[in-house]
Amino acid sequence: MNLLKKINSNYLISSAVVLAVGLLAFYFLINYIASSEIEESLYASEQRVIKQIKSRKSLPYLYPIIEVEKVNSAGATTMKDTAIFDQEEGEGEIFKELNTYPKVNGQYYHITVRALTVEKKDIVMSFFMAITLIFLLLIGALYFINKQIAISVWKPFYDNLERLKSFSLKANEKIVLRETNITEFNELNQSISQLTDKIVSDYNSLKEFTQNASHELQTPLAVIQAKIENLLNNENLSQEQMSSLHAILESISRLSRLNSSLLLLTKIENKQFSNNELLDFATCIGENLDTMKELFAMRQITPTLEINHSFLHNMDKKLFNLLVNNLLKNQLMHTPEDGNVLIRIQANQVVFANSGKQPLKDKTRIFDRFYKENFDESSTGLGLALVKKVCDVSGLKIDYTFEDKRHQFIIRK
Amino acid sequence: MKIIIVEDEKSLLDAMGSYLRKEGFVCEKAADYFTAEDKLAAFDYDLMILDINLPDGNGLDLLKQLKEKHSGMGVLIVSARNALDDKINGLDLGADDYITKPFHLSELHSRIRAVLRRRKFEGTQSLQFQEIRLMPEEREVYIHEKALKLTPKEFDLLLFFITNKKHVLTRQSIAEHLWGDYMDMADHFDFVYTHLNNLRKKIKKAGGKDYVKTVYGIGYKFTDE
Repeated sequence: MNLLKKINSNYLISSAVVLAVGLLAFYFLINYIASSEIEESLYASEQRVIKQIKSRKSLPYLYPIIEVEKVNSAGATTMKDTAIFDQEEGEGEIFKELNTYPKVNGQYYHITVRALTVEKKDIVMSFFMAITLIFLLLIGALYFINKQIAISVWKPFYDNLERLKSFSLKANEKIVLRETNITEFNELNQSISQLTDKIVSDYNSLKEFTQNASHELQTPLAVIQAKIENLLNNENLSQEQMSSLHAILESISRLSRLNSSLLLLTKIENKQFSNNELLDFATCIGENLDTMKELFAMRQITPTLEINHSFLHNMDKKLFNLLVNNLLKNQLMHTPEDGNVLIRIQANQVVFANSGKQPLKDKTRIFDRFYKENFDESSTGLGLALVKKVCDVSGLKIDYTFEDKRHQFIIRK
Repeated sequence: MKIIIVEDEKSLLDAMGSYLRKEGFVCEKAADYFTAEDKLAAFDYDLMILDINLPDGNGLDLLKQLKEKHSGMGVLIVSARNALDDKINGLDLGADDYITKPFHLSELHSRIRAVLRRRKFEGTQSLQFQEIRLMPEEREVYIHEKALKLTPKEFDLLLFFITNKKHVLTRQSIAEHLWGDYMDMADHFDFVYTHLNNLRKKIKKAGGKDYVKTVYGIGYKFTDE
């Protein structure tokens, strides 16, 4: 439920409750007032009747409004509702009836005065209806006005929300929010601007840091490597010394590969590759496979590219090459000689399959950084992490299965 | 052949200088933008090795500024960043090649030779090593002046050996030279070995001598000593 709906529905619900309670109270109030008015008028009529009796004129009689009769003893004064058949109108009517037994000039009288309650009911009802109507109109009008006001008041908020949504760190642009004359919104804008400025500067310094760190690492590595290579050409070195130097060289190369893979991972995470274009997997995988065919051939493996359907996806070409190269390298390294390598392209998925003896041990961890199935020193343990990361940022899913003595990496949209 | 090396890391500058001097180059060194600018204004060089990140300026600016005056000079960019932007910028600005740190000195040397060849500095366009004659442009090899047929990889391997003759070449530097980025994983020794074996057999069959010496556990050396 959005903000405006929430405000409006809360307004409507609370108005309905207030309306119901208010109208109920109002109803009882005017009912009470009308009843007491009638009672007052009955007592007034009774006083007039007594006055009439006192003046020794004839006893007043006006059925069913006034009845007077002489009685021998006094009774209790009562006030009650009673139904009387009205011959004039031919139907039973409800009357309020006051019975008193005053003693006038030494004689007890039983005086009955009545008033039609129907009248009272009509008055109460018409009052009630009128008020209800006014209330409903008022609520309706207020609802409409409130809604319009809310829309115009919240408009800058929604505008800014849209701008926030389209805000991207990569674009490296400051976020420009709409000014309003509402203090709270301006404060919010200010806080958001400060926050995004901070995020942008942190992001930039992080980016700078990773790049600088890589630069700072690569240069000393280059120095070590160059110095050792110069040393290797020294004729006076013993075999043992040469071996040590070579081991150092190997480690440097590993370190440098690790460094550049980690840098690459960070760059992909930071979405620094975003030249998306529509790629036809069949052609692009074909290109990659061609460059690696020779390497496969040296291991007596002939990779098969099976195209059953076109598979198109919008992604960065560099990332695509990284993805495919890593999967192909994986197949190259982990397929036993004379094994099978198959890349099958289907309408809904692309499968990289190669023969193997048994499934990988820990399926859940194969895409983790630095996870190694076996302790292969030359592997960086980052290849599949890169593959996964590329899939994540390119809107692809990747799964591993083992079927028919085959490792399968399956890419889906 | 006169080369200027612009690199702010002194030890690397020295290492490159001493390797290239052994290969017969005259090397001038510049450790910062200012010195490089100064030297380039005063002298002519056949090739510049340029590190993009300098303490007092961007190497690309130097390239931009000097490319007009020294249009005949080859430029090989060295950078710690393998950011493709740098590579594209550098090549757009007229650099001939791009190499990423850390690199093998043998690889650097090969690249320099290739740039100089392309710019026709080397005079005669063939490389001679005893009975082996190699034409890099035409990609042809002659043993005792008789043509020898090699696969592209075998040719590259032989060219790499002859360019860096008498130097120990690690198997890793050979693998990286032949396959570049594809070879950043295990097993590359087998691949190098296969190609090298084929090359040796072909040369011997054509009546050539086997100049490849195995440096045990490390790599190979192409030498007639």
